[in-house]
Amino acid sequence: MDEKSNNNRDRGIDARRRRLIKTAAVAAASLMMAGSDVALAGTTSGKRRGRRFVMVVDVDKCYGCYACVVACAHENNVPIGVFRTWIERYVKPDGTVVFVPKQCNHCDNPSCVEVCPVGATYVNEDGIVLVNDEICIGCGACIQNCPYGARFFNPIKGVADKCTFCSHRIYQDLLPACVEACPTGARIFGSLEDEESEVSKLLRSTKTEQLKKWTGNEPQIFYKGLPGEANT
Amino acid sequence: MVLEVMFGRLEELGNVFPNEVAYDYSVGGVVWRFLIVLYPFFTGLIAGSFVVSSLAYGLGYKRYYRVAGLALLLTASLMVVPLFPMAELTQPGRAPEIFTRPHITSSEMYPGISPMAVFGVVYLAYLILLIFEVLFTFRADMARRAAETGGLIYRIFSLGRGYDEASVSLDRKIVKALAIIGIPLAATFHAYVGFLFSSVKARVLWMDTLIPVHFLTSAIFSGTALVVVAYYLAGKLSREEVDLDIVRGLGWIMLWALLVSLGLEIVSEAARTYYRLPASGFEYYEELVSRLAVRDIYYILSAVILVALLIPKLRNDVRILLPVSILSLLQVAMYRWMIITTPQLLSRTNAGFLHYSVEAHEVRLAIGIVALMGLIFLVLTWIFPWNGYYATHRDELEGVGSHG
Repeated sequence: MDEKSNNNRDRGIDARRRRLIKTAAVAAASLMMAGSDVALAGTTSGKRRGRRFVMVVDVDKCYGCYACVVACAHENNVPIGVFRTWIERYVKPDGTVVFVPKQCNHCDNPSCVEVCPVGATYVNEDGIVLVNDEICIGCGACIQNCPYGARFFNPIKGVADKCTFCSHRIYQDLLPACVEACPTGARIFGSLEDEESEVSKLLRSTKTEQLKKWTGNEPQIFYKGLPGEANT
Repeated sequence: MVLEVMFGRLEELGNVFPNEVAYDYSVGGVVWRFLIVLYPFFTGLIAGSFVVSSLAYGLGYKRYYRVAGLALLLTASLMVVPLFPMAELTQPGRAPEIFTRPHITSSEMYPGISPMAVFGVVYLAYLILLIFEVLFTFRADMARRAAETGGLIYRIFSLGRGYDEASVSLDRKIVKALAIIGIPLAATFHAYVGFLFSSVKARVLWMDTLIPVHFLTSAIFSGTALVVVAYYLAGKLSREEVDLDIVRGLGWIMLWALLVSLGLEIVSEAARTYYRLPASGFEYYEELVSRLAVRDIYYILSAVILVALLIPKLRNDVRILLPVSILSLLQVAMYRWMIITTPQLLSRTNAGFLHYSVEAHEVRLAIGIVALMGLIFLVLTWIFPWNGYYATHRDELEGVGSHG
């Protein structure tokens, strides 16, 4: 009886193994056929995010002219001394200089929205993280919880402020001011919902990185050619 | 400036985000400042002194009956503590929003639950409990005064009943229930403040699950120290004999709370040396703490207090315990300073420092709020007798009650 049961168990294991191998083969095949879906895996969650606006930043194309910073400040009336977008400068050991444009990452799982005690900051229907100036009490919780230093107190309005992806422009079918101002096309903006958009194609075809992935925020700004020390 | 020498001046160093330093440090760098340091310090005093009063009223430690009323009034007078974070808001006029539209449900637009939003529920529940506990603790004394003087205030606070044995024993039951329910509520009220910090994932140095627990133990330590100071002063001012037995008991509580508190701190600090902070964060952290004079002063002070409390001869002498208690309050305030400002001095890039020193307007606001607390305490002690017979001599009353 023992032998029989052993045989049965072995057969069971074999069957399971076979099933596993079959699944793995199917998975591998589908991976090869639909590599695009895997590339987009980090950008999609189960959440309802409408048009899902994202930005791809090609670090190699940025040469640090600050046109985006100026355009942003001009477009959004950002007070002097605080920044909705900025450019970080890094020098590699071989002496080459790398410029990394940064801004709010419009995270899919934003830690700033999570901690707002009054729900003044929210994710809009297209995945953009916004602040309602009329409700914000100015406790600073969102500023503390942003791992990217993208939020600040607006010294004029006295509320938390941040990049809005120029929501007033993009819903008029214009590009964000920083994207439009960039002379080299280092910033590419678009909707992930549209599979034919430039960002969707780029994310399918190129290797990109997100900042501070360990926070679990799932940032929606994708960097191409990001130097390691700039991942802050 | 003295404060800068005391708390260490750091020049900006390394890689920091522009929003952390530009314009003003409070814009995006050290956002939670001096008033936020005082907030957990005073909620700690609230929790600690409430525990002392609950030891007597709730858990029946007869030794502490004489100070229980005073500890309760202290707790109640510190309940304006939310003024500290409120004064720090950039929109203080919108502070009530935290009660009216708390972010305590998760949805697509508002993912997550805000720990800060829990404030409204916890604070209101605790405040209501405290009001009722104060009313019923001193009700019999009020009734006796009403009978003696006929004053309107006394008649109101006697709640229309007398001070006969049945009424007093009913009060005692109500207060006992409130005191026992109050302990977890007070602990929650204070520990959730610690959780506000340990839940901030962007600051690697706040990622310490021991913060709420450590807050609680140091709260019991500082709350007891406050009761010692207040009891001594109140005794001297009202020309009542200071019961040395109580002071010894309080010294004993302080010793244990300090031991646990320091133990937790060592565990926290030791664990931190094993963290792998990103972007050479640990080197920056070590550099950061080595520059902060407040840290060295804190550890020296802790050692002095620990030695004074460990030696029974010193602990049992009220002339020693009194200055030690005042130093203990300072030590806990310094701990709160360290736990709240130091992690914010390390930039969120984990590769740079920021700078922070207390500003004059913050000190002015703090003095105003502390003065308001003192005023409320004076009014409360003027209305309610801190050493009222029925409130603080229950051990004798219980003796009477058991016979009759």
